[in-house]
Amino acid sequence: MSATRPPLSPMLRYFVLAIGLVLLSPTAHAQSAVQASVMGIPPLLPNPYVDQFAQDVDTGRFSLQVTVMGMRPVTTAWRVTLRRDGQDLVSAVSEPVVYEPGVYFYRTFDDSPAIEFDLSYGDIVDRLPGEVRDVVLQTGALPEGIYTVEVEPLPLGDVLSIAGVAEFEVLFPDPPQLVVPYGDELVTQPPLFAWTPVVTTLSAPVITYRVQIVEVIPGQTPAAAIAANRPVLDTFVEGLTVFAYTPDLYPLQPERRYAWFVVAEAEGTELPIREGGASDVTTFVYRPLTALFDSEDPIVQPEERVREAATPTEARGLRDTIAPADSLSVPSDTLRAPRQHP
Amino acid sequence: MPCELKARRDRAGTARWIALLAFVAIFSPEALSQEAPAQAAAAPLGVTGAVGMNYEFNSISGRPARRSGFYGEVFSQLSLDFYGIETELDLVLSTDESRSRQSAKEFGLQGQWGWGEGGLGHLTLDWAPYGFSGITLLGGYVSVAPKGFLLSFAGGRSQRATPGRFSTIGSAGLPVPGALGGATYERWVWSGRLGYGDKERSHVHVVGVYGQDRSSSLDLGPVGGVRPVAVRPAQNLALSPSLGLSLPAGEGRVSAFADGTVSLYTRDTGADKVDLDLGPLTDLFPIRRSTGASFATDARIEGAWPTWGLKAQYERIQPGFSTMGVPYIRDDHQAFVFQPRAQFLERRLGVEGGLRLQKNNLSGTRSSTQRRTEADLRVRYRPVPTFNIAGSIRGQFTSSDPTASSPNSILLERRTNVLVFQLTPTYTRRAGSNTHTFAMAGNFQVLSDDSRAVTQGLRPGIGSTNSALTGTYSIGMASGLQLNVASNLQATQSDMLDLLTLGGTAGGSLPITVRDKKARINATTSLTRTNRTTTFGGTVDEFGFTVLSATLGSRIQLSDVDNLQLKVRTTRTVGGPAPFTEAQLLVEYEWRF
Repeated sequence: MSATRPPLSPMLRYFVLAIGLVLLSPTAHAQSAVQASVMGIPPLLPNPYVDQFAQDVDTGRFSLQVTVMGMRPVTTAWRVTLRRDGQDLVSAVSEPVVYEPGVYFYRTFDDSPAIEFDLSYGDIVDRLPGEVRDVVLQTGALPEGIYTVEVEPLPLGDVLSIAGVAEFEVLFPDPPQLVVPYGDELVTQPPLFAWTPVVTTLSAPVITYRVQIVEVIPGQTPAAAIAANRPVLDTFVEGLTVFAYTPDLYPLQPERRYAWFVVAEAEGTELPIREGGASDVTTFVYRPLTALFDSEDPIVQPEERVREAATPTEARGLRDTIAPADSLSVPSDTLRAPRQHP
Repeated sequence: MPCELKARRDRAGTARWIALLAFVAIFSPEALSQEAPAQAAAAPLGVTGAVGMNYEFNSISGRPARRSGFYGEVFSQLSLDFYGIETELDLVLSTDESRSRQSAKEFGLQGQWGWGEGGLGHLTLDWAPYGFSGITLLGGYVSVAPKGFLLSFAGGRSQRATPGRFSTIGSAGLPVPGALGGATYERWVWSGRLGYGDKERSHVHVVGVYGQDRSSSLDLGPVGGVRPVAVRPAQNLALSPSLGLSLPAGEGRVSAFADGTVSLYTRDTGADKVDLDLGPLTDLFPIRRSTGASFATDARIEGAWPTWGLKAQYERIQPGFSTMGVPYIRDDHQAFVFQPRAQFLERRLGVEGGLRLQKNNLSGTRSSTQRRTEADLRVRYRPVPTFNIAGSIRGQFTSSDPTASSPNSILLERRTNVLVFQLTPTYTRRAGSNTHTFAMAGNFQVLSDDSRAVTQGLRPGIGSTNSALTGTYSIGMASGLQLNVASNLQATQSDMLDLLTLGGTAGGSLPITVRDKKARINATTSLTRTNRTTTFGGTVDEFGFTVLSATLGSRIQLSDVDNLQLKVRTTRTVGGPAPFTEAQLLVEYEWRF
């Protein structure tokens, strides 16, 4: 009595047949594959400047892994494409490179076997679309957006190719903007300082704001005061975008003009912030009502005791204030002689 | 050896102070006024100005010092006229040598003769609003203007090297100077100006600027394999044409100005060069991968008459614009500004206004576009000589609209509005020999944050309201005695901060005469109570503290030209996270002549 095999199920029969056809086909023995993987590009680019990006490429901060499968050497060129928000920005094709089967790890394209592009930095910039090229030439930075880098093998012959793709975002958040006090504003009490937050898509980075207040000596510009004078206040505020000048802080002096600004820092991250995180500089004048009584004659109003502060640059310019130099809010200086600069 | 060095430094410091005091003594008006008046009138040397000294002694316990124990400053502002050559000498020397980009010690020597002028020392020149304006150079300048033609040169150090804040981002855990910003290289800036006419009137000027950081001035080499990204040595070349036309119009003047600057700015002089030939400028300014070319411009019309005036201005600063000749310039925006002002009722009513419309994202390549509108109105009215009222209202409306393709549109969208109201009435009444003054100041400020991210709870809002009210009363008597009391209230409410401050101040001043010397003694004491609640990241921090402060001061008129001020202040806080006691003595002496 001979043993009888149980019959194969119809489904299994089809599966075995399909495997057999694949294994016995004439091309299957020659089929090779080239696969690329792009690694090391962070989801948010820590530095949007083109030269820094190029330097990161040159120094191997980003890497490319090439896997060549099969039994025979493969010759392939490479096409590298950079896209922004789905639109091709620039694309370049390398000279063909011969690979033995195996795994290759590139820190730079100069690693062996070298991948050579007949393309200079200027050529790359020239090939960029007009609006992007203008931004790169003006700012030296990549425009904001979602970028895709695709490294695609272009093998000769019947070789399967699998491209490597990496996506990253370029976002260059604005620094804080000063809200109050602003533009030579007169304050009768130590003010509440407020500014706008740095908005980022990073997952909840804690932004630290450095708040600096310096006295502007008549004859100085606010910028010069910040660069040289002793700060009245130099403190760090974590997370908050308001700061109250409470009575325990160093007392502000009546009838003095102060400049203030904020610098945002995302400690522990490489979050890029425009202008190095520094806000504009603006000014306010501290004039408590008790300053009325510093005069020999209390009938004289503060405005009449105003001695014009020499702030031609800051008052005339649009950058700091909309208050004109001869405005009603021109700060007085009854207590300290103006320091003249030529 | 260190002790020897310290002793040498101390001796050098003492010698410097002796020299300074000698300098003040030599140039004091007493020394200069020893000649007879007639002789002085005929003398070829005329001196006017002021010299003085400020000293500050600080002591604090209970918290780290916020001021150095001793601060000294000597200053002079001298104008010398020597056979028609006018020379101004400004000098400020202080003991404070902070880590700021410019030294707090300043001196300036400026001379004028006929159609020429020049200067040495700390100089702040204003030659071109977007090319060379607002920076302080430690260097020199010379300018000649024969028959209206103008030729000027200036150069000097605009900032010194500072290491910035330290961080431990290096993988080796070593401190990396400047890794978190604040670091600066030593920077040198040179400028030349060629043109015709006065900059504030009709003119044609061209200003060139070249600036460069000294890369060797700051050691920011790789530490632990990480090169800090916060600072790079930079280089700049800029050209600024300027046109102006100013004409009389009745009792006033109408002016039109146009300024522009084209700037080549290399953000990192260590970046690879680009094969681009600028002719003879190639060696001076090689184009690198980090080089950007951009421009800024403005056009404005101004009219000024005795009782009214206006100004309209358009400004455009392209993305990436930067120059070493102007500090703190914000790129990528355009703005339109309109500022009228007028006085009525024989100047008893003054009105000023301002409107500014601003927009960024000029290239249309940013993830969001921000628009900002600012408007303000200020009024001062004095219906009778004894009553004065001043009020103002200011609005600031900011919106940030993400582009359609932005994947983070909710986070990038932003709407903030600010309204600030101020009102200050003052009434003065004479009753017999006494003068009574009543004054109030009210300030109300609303900041609303209507951003979608806030309404959807993705981030805390920055909205707040702040109310401040101050009331004062003062009485001045015939004897010169003046007494005043004031009370103040400030309440702040926001998502992150609640604050209530209530306080009062009482003070007085009295003129006295001691040995023919006039003096005024002032005394003020204040008491304030503050309750503060901070909320951030789910953490609530609540505390209150009381601050008691007292000030006693006197101003002594030593002669017709010099005076001495002394002030002692003590502050004591009770309660709160860091109660402290602080004492401060201020001594100021000034001699004007």
